[in-house]
Amino acid sequence: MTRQLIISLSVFAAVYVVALGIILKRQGRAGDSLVEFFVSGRNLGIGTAIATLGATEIGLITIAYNAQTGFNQGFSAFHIGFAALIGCIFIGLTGFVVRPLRRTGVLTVPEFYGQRFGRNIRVLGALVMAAGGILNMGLFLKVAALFIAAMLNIGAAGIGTNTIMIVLIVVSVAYTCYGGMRSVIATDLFQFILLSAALIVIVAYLSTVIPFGDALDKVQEIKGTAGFDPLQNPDFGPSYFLWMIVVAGVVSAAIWPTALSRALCIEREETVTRAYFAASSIFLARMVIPAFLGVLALVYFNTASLSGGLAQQTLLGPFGSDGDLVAMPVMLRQLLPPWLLGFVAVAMIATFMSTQDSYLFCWSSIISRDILGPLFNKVDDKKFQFAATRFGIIAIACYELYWGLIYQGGEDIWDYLTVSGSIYFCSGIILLAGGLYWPRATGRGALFALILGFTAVLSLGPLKQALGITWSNPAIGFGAIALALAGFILGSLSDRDPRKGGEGNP
Amino acid sequence: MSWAGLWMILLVVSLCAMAAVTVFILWGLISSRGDKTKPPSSSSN
Repeated sequence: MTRQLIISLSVFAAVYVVALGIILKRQGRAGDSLVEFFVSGRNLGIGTAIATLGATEIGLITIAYNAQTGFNQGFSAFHIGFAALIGCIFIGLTGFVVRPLRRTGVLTVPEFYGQRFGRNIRVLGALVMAAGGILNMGLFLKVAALFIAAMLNIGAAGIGTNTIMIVLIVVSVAYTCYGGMRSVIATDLFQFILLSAALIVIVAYLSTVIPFGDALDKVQEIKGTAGFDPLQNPDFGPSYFLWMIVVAGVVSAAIWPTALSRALCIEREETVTRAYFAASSIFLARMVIPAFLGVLALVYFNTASLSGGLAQQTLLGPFGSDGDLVAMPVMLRQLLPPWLLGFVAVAMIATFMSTQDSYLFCWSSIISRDILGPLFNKVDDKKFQFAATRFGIIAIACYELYWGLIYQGGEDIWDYLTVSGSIYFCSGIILLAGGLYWPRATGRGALFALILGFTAVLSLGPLKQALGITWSNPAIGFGAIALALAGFILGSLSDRDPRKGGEGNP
Repeated sequence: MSWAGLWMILLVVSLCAMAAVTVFILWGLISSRGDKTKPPSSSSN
């Protein structure tokens, strides 16, 4: 690190820490009611809702995996953002799941399972949800540490990624435990502003170094048509595009608990759909802008006049198989002036925090409210709930540190995220939509859907290898959803009609 | 329209969206200055 970079980094980091401290002090400690602690008093207006949705769903991991996809696939990676836009607009126009769920007044998604299908499904659904979600965030910390280390060349200064991981996790755990959902949302606003400013400034600056026209020509030269047309790209294709509308659009916005929990925080039911409609452009941006930076990294490493004769192998070689993951931050290190690099690094840390706090809080609140609460009969015991949530935050953080050190899967980060997430959402989408829109649905149907939806776990890289499965991930994902749907319908129809009274729940 | 044209439009829309939401938040922060009981723009509803 140069002296200029150290000064810039210190100044921006100090400003960030002071601002975060002021925000947290202004918000105060978490309130003493469950509604206050878990859904921030349920008083979010549309502006805060859009910002917190955006800040939660744009993390450093989002930047990293989209940049990686852009680096590997060229402009055709943009189709993931396009699919997200389509899916989120659909939610904004129809209110699919989010609006009727907000109407139920629940504090967490499994609580709705409990209302609709009974206590056992609430606990089992929460277990599946927590397993998929916690596995999903397992690589957040490692990727963030790698990204920051590559961008600042910290390895050269003798500071390892493990040290960065520990510092990042301790800070995010501390303030998430302190203020509950209120502090998560308050810091989201500030972090979104930082992230937005950083992305816009980076794109503006790099456009002067690598003009858009030059990038188009270079990608055409390197990748050909596959670099632009996702339908012609052998790694994507029509089924992948459809899968992305489901995963990056509908699921990310309306089924994934961290996003859905924001719908539960919004003050008025009618504001929910407006917030989602407006946030659809953010769901586009969170994919497209980082993917564009990844494309610029591809151009940079393949243009001798830009990389100053430094070969890709020289700069990315030390990172081994993570070379494509760190290509974008290494490019930033090489091209940005030190003062700007310091600002961008702090903004990236802020984006990590904004996602990390939301995920830690979301999964730990599900464990405390929907697994431990019903099991120990302490769902409405405030003291128990607060303590269990805070303990859950610390436990998940420890797991994240451990998983970041041991997981050696070979897939792209985005594929890992969709696969681990699908363990929950392949049944989650059926339970939520079926429970909200199909009066005939029963607990038995929900149980079958949960069990059959779990087959999505077969798309995890190490498991696929061990079992010799050759199906594509979209095929396994659609197959798991179809199985869960079939189980849900057949199980419900074979059960007593809940509208006629009597026991419909297992 | 070519794929390149579509991607360029989406990139511009993305940048504008990020800028617009940022301005929206800042406007909310400024207009709710002094309210210490709620997140800055939660009173905008």
